[in-house]
Amino acid sequence: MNDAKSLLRWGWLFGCWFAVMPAQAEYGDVILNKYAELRGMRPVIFPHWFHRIRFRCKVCHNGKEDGYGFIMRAGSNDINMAKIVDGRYCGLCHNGEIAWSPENCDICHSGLPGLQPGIQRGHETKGPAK
Amino acid sequence: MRYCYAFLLLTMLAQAAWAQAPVDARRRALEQKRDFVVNMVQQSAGAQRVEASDNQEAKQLLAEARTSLAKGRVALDGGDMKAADDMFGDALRKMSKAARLVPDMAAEEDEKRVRFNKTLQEIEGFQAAYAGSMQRLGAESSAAALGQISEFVTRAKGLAADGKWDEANEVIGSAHGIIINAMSKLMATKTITYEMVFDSPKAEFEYELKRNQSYEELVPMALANFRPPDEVVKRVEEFLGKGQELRTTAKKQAAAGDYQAALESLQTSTGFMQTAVEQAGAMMQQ
Amino acid sequence: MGRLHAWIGILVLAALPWLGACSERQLARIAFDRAPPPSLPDPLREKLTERKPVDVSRQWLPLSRDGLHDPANPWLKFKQQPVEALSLLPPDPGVGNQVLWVDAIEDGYINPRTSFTEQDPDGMLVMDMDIMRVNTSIMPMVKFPHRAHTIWLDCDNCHRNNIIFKPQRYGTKINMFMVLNGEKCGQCHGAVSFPVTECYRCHSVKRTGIIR
Repeated sequence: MNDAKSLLRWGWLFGCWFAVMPAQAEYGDVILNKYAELRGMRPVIFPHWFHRIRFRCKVCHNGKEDGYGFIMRAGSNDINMAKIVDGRYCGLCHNGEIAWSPENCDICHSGLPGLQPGIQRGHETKGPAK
Repeated sequence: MRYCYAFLLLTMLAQAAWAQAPVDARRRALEQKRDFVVNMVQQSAGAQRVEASDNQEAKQLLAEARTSLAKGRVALDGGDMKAADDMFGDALRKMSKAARLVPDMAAEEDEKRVRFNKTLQEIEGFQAAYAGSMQRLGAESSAAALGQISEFVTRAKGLAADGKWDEANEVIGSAHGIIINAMSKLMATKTITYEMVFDSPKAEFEYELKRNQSYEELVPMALANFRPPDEVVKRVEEFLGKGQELRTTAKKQAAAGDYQAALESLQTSTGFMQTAVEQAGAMMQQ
Repeated sequence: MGRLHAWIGILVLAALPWLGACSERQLARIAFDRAPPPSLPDPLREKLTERKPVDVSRQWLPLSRDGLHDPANPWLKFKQQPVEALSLLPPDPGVGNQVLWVDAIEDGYINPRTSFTEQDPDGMLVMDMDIMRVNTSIMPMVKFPHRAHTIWLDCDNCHRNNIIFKPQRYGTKINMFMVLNGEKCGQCHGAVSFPVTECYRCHSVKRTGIIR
């Protein structure tokens, strides 16, 4: 009976270990959740690395305002679906011509519930990632 | 034993029930998509612009979008999820294309104006810097380039005053390009060092004195923070004493007018102060 | 008998993740069996046959387990996994995305577009000019390379609204506090470029003379 008990205990420990393994977002991922979760969608996760491979910084961060470009500060761009469909912000490319169109909701809206907006994986300072 | 099997059975039933939940979730997701497409196609700013415009292609696309939406609704009510999703997607794509064919002129003009002003401000900043750099680097004056830029800027301002933002931005863009190229050529492959430039040796001495004192202020803080053993505190105070002595010497030399020697003494004094802080425990790397 | 119970318990525990995955697979199946949406051709996929992954010392979490993405999202399979692309780029183990982005461009691994559409290339104005910042107290001096930055950025990304390079003596205020707070260099370094904990990448020039 003792063997069985200790076996069970090890089993539980093993299971608990996997339950609490740390998970870390990819560096530079931006979470957009000003409106998404309020409207019943998952938060949006924007991966910088994927876009960096394909575009230089200045293409999106082109100094234009009002959605014709992105301001280089998480939280400074008021993005919503209406503007995207209208061809601003993400819609500058995600319009079915340069990249896929916003009908594919859950490719962008792919975050876990409750994520706080901001940019991920900064260093341990008060930098923009905090 | 019974309980074990009951538990297993319960797990399997739960799994089966959980597998059903997604179908409802999918329907809800599609309904949400439908509501979103309705909003875009009927009420959005883009739809209103298209309706108010003369662009026949855009109007055609909008009409097709609305038809697709209607078809999608029918499919959703009939339970055909895939067809509904396809129709909603088609409606959204057509709507987006229509909206992009009829851009928001007011917003665009706004944006052009803001961009013009920003570029202008930037050019003005660069012009001043260019003049400064030319002086420092000893290059022959490129009066031609500067003259051309001024000419472009004047012309651009004139166009802007008339509200011709597209042309104004083009002209100021050219001016911007000229100044950038000029600066690039001037400074290419050079290294510019930004360091402190003092008006007089006296000013430099004052500055270095302040720096010296700032390190001295750190010593009690470091001691309070790191609380090293007594021998270390003794050593710290020794270094502090040496630093203070040298500082007094430096002040005397400065008062006598020998700033070169004064600065040297002060530098050594600062070195002792830094050592004192390091000994107290604050890691300082070089 | 007790031992049998114990084994059944452990088997159930071990089977739970598989049971969870079953539902996830069912969810994935009902995502309309849609083909992946059309997108830009993947610039690295063409090179997959040419280049082997550069080293194996870097690990990237799969998207479903990165604590950010919802693993129950049936569309997650359409997002590219970081390891697929980043393992092909010059390594920078443990730092940021674990990729040397400047080297990636300069050595030809990637050639990101300079404008939205390929048909209208804007070009980059690359300026090769270094700025030495000498007022770094006892830390080595900072050498700021314009070249590495101008292959990614436009002048006005930094020289805008007199943020940097105010044409005045001591006009531009920069110090480590500001950088650590996300201003000036910290706007990107710590967010998208390598973090500011990599001190000696910037503080790279040892001083030999007067320490200021």
